[in-house]
Amino acid sequence: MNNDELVAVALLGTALKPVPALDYPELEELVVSTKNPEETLLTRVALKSLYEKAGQKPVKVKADIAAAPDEVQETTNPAMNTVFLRSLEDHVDVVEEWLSVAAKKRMVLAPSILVAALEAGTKNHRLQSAVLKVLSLRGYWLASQNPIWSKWVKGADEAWKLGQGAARLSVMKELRHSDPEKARQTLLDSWTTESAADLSKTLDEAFVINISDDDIPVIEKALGHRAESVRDAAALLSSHLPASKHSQDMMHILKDYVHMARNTLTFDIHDNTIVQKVTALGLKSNFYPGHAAAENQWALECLVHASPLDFWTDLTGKSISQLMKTTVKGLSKDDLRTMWYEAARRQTNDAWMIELIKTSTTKPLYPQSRVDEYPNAQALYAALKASGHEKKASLILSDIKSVWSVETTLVAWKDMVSIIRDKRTFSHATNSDFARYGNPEALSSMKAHTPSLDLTNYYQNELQKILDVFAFRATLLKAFSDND
Amino acid sequence: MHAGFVLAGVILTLIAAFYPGRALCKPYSKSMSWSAEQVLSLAPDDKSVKAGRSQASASKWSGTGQNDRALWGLCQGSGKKPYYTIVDLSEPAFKCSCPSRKFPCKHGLGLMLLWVDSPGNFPTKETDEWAADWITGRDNRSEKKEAKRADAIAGVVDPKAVAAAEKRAAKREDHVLAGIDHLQLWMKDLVRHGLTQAESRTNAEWDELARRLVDAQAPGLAQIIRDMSSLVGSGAGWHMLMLERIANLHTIVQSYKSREGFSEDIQEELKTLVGWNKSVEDVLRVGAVRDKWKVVGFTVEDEDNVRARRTWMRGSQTGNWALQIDYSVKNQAQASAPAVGHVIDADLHYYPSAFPMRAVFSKTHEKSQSFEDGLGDAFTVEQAYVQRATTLAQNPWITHLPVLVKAVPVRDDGSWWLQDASEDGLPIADSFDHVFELTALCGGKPHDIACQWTDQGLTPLAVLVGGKLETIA
Repeated sequence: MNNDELVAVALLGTALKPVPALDYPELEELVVSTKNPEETLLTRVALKSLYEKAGQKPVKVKADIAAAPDEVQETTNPAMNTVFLRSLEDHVDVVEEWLSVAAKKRMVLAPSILVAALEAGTKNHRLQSAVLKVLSLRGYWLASQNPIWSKWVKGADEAWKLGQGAARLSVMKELRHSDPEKARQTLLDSWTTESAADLSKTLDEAFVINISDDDIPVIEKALGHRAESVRDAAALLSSHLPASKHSQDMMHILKDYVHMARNTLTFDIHDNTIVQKVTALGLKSNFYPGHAAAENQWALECLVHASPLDFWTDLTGKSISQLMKTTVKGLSKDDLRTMWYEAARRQTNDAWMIELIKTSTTKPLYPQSRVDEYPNAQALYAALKASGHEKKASLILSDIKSVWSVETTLVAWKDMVSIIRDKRTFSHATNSDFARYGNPEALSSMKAHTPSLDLTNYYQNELQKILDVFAFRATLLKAFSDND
Repeated sequence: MHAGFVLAGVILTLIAAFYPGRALCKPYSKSMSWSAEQVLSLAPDDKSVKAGRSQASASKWSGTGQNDRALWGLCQGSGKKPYYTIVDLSEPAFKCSCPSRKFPCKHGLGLMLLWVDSPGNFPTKETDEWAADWITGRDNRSEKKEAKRADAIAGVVDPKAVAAAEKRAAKREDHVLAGIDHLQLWMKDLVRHGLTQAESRTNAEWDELARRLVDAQAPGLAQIIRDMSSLVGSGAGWHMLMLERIANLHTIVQSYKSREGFSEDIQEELKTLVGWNKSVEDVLRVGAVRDKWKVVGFTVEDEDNVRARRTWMRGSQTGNWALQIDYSVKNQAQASAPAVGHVIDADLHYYPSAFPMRAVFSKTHEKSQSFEDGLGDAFTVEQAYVQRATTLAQNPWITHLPVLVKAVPVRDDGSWWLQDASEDGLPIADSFDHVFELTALCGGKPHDIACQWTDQGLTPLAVLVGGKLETIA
């Protein structure tokens, strides 16, 4: 009695069709004969289905896709993920911001939020570029299994070949994070078909990630490009690589404009030849005629940024710490320190960065030090702490954490102030209304600018929404800070 | 000998002989507090998850506080007065002055989420008066309940109550048997004249039969009829499916009528299938199993107007599985359920059954905590099938089974499976909507995946990633 025979009997009814015996003799023996065919049929079906269910064997299945590649980047943490999921529900306006902050932190999406992020990108095309910037290798792998997602999330190779603008850029950034060699090869393969605009943007924004001496051949190729914008981008990249020929060339030019005499570093950048020499090496000046002094200083900055920092110790015969105390002539000492900060940041030179911070008199260190963008910020923190510079060490931490806080709280603050200024009816807001929202300084500033708030029922909701965004941002900041 | 008796009794022995069972156990280690996912697992539905998240903002709350026992706060809603919300952390249990009929409401979830997110917003202090009143009330009720339960556990019985219950049961049995006679006639008629007739039967006819069984005090059988009615014309192969369901129903009623010949456990199983409910006090008379029960996951199924939440747990020391079922009328208050990812050191009493699974807690020895030490040994797909066969040998009518399998979700020819290292596959139920979430968590590599297994296939509940239980929803 197979299933077809059973169904035939069941469809026609036992009144018209006899009940066949079971295919399993061992079970048939168990069926007590009865004159009631309906009961016989049901008993046989029950035995058969249970027997087959209990004796079911596993089915061999073949996976239609290999396992995801191992993740090479840090993934977003559970606190961030919770905020992300909540923002998708209630604060869609800040989802993009969340994604960009994660990208800035060089993090990729954790597996638990991949589906939510891919769905968000599918529903909202504006988010796609931001999602791609933080899409993990597993994210690409997952998207390739769903035709709806893979329409806009291509695999790295395909996305680079078929994508446009921001999507291509994000693919290249991802490659630079995960496999710089593949990134170089991918760019070289499509070199002849790349527009100058795309090429310069790719060099400028993607190749700066994980830049190393291995990139020198690509950069030198770009320095010979017919387009000025590409040469400019390549020259800027070269300033990160003190071993490059370009950096050495820049250093040779610099020698003509600075010298050490009587324990004083003297700069002489009054003639415009400095600009001509710098632009001849690929850098592009955006100054209008009539701004010679500023343009000359810009050229000097380019030279200082690109020249190996050893140049200064070799030139003066002084240690880094002695250089910090050296008198400077022809240029403001602060300007020179800012140039050194930038050179140390680009060249990832911890020794210079530490000395600059130790001798810094500004609080906070940002933006002069750009320590928030310094890859070895944690090492600086540890070194300063170990050498007894506790306060400076804590400044580093607060700079890393405060950059985002300041940026975002001020956005919210401006929103709020503009509403208050428009309505001019808010009053009665108390400090406690603001006290919970993260950044006390921004909040007290907000309060100072809005001395008479009138929280009428009508406007209370609007204010509440803004305060919610504030609270949300504070939570978000905390999530990222905790990760630090 | 009666055919039904043979059917149930012999097949149990037969299958049991083929498939020996096995026990599982794994040592337990303690771990920390609540995560947002665990809080959200308490939500009665997806809408509540969304609404709860929206309330987890410090700006919405004032007068917040916490201590070892509870956390509380005032939430400004659309009205003049704020809602008073409190969470008793010992279970957890929720109370809110809002008019929502959901339980826990969005305020309770939001308050707890905020607490998880930013505990600094909750100063530690003595419980506020309004909150303390509720806690005291709970304690008082709990004491009475405990006393009643203690009597049950101690075997204290009221002879008068027992006599009255026996009288009621005898009367009910008469009704049930009459209902079964009617049902058997109906089934015989259906099979005699063929399933093509079933197609022509209106919904009203199925409903009428179900109502009649409810009147006969056999609600379990009525539910089976309602489920069967939805099969009519439900796609290719429905005839076979219907035939199997009728055959299964046939075995239930035949066996029920001759149940005296079975063991007490089988008798209890049959009574449950027909619709006799066991009171919690009766269940508590059965001996307790103390263990550290790990809450693995839950499913929510709507059955007409009733919502059934099935929470699966596994004992850390015994390796035994247990199932807590909470029924509620849809959109109305639901009893507190244990949080997924938590471990509860408690006494648990199984409902009498041919394969005990459903259970109720009596005494909690320690406050529940998160765990990160896994769920015990996971099966291969073949072992899972063997385990199911063993279970069926003890209870051929069982519909929901737990399984922990080491596997990876894969798609083969358009269908999703859990595939183990030997490339053996277990089918994932078509109704499972979160297969990509599971795939993302596994990344194409085998993980320990806890599932509920029904005839429709597997419903994955949670996956262990680095020792941490990730719920899939």
